[in-house]
Amino acid sequence: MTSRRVRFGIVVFPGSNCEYDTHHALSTFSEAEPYYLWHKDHDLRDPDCIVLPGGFSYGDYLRTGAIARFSPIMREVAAFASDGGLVLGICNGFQILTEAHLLHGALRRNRGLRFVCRAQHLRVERTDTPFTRRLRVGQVIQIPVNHNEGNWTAGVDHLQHIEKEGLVAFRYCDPEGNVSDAANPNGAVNNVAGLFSEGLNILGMMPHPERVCEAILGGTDGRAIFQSIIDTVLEP
Amino acid sequence: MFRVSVYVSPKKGVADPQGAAVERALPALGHSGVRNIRVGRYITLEVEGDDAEKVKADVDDMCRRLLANPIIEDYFFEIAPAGSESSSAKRQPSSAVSERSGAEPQPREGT
Repeated sequence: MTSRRVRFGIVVFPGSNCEYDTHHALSTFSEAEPYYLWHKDHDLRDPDCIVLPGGFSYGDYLRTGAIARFSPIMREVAAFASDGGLVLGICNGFQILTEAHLLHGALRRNRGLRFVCRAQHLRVERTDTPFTRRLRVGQVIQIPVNHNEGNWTAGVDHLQHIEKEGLVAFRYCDPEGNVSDAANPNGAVNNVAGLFSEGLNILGMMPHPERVCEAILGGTDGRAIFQSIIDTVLEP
Repeated sequence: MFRVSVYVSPKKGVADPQGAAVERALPALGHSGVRNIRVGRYITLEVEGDDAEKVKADVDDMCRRLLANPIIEDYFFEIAPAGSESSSAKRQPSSAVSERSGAEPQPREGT
């Protein structure tokens, strides 16, 4: 067994604010080697996985993620992704990935214009992916949400395609796993909380797995996602 | 130089949480019978150039790629030669060139 460690490049945009949490969470995995990238960088420095963290890149001006999408590093991130590289977008990172057209749909203001910050149950929809292989289909996990624009939507044609291809990663649900309107924190169409790309190598999700990686912080359900990525890289 | 006004609004059929909130608030002010409020964005800019057609093409590109998100928003814009009126924000839609997005068919407001 080699001692190779999995390199996670965390992209910092002006206004990102979850990069330290993400770095810290990853540092609790002995096999992970997290490092920061600045949005003006052109060299991704040989990552195994790129993480776009949560926050308020560019102050959420115009639309969330709309301006970050044109940051210099995003050209490299898109090229990395098109070569099959793993990209995880969390919250604002998910918003950036939709604006960059690396993931389907768009994220609008929450239903009721309410900023939501709460523990949230999610139903796992698919586990044959680099991000979810440590989970079970139908498993209910709890990961907090913390956002104002998580109301995901897509055009009718796209929506049919997304469901047909099974690109939904997680849906908002109640503790028993029922996907209902009452369990939907933001109005997202079909309760979509997380979404894969066509190639399954990109995952965008509104909930924050990096915040539930240690029991002392209230939960460990986020670990399965990072561990899945590590397993994928080390034992493809 | 052209003055450009860009109007961005939620696509028909896309839920507009802001519009819905405003619509719910108006009856409290005594305004009843108000429906279909859509809250959008109004952007003004000045673009250098003499060729109106080129400016229109440039502005359309700006709208598609940044100023609007065509997945959830419609846009249209008006351009007018700068200096044709004082620098006030007065609009002259009659003399302005107007371009509208939405070549693709609109989803119908659904049931």
